[in-house]
Amino acid sequence: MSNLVLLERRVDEHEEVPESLVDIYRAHHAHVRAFAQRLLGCPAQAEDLVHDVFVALPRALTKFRGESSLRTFLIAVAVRHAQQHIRAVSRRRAAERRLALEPQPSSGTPDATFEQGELGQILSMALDELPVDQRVAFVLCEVEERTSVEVAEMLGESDGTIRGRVFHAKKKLRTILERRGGKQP
Amino acid sequence: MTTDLLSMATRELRARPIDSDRALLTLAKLRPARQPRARRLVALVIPIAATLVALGAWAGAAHERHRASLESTHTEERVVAHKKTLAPPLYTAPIVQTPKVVVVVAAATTEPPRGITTSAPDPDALHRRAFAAYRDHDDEGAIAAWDKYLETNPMGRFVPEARWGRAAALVRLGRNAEAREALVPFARGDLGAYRRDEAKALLERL
Repeated sequence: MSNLVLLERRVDEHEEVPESLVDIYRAHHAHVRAFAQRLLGCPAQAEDLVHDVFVALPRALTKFRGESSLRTFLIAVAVRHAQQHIRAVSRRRAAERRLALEPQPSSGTPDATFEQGELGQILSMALDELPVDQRVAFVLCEVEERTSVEVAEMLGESDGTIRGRVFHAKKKLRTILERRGGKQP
Repeated sequence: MTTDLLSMATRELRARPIDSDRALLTLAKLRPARQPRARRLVALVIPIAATLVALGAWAGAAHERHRASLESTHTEERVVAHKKTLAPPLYTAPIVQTPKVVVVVAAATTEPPRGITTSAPDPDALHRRAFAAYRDHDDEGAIAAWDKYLETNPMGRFVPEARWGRAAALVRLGRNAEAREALVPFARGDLGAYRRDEAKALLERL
């Protein structure tokens, strides 16, 4: 009997949830955290999202049919809880930019002058300018390299919808990167 | 080309280190956040029950003291009355000593007649019998003996062992629902670390 099936039964019986929850946390928290950090670009906010996902998990598992892996299911739960965190982190970064607390990436300089990791930081901040759906689709498909079919199943959308979101996200991001980082020679 | 810039940025974002310093903190927050209902209920009920028991004991003791003082006063009054009405001191002594006589008679009546064994079975012997039955693969007999032990000695010194043995016998008999019910407290840590890991492993297999 799989750990998950046992957990589901325990959830039904309102027993043993903590231990099973801890087991699942230990097995999958790193993947959920990686997704959360890529999506939000802020470790503290990402940790809050991880916490929300695992606290909500016992209830969420009642809807789990085992059609996807538990890890995929956890990412889907994270996506459902991500919206408020995205808003919070975007607001905070916008405020920091206004107050010039966050260092602005260099602008108008050739890409060759970007320091190691700076492009990733620029992209992370550029994600703030995308609608949530496009942001999620871009991170899942492009950063985490999932197929559009897998993401479509995860989010309960059609493959075409996901492809469209990624297409529009990339288009906007190119424009933003161009504005902030200049063009490659 | 800008496409390449986006690809480079995406690669960098993918390669950024993941901060997992707070992972343990989140884990610690998760543990108390999801207490089982049964445990929460127990945590609520036990202090109330303890308070009620203590109040009951206190009230009982107070009642006994009150009754004893009343009886004592009453007896003294009766003795005084007798002393007044029945002048000879010969009659006073038996009246004063009456309660002692009653106590002795009562104690005598509770003593079982010789040759008839009415005492409860030795708890340790019950546990030994159950264990022997379990060792001989008489699981039904073992369960019955342990049930008897647990019923007659709910606070006995072999209660954890008896509960574990009973659970193990249930597993052997394939009575999985009952076995799970018996194993869950061990796995949950209600008995501390005693047999916790074994119980978890068994629950995984059931």
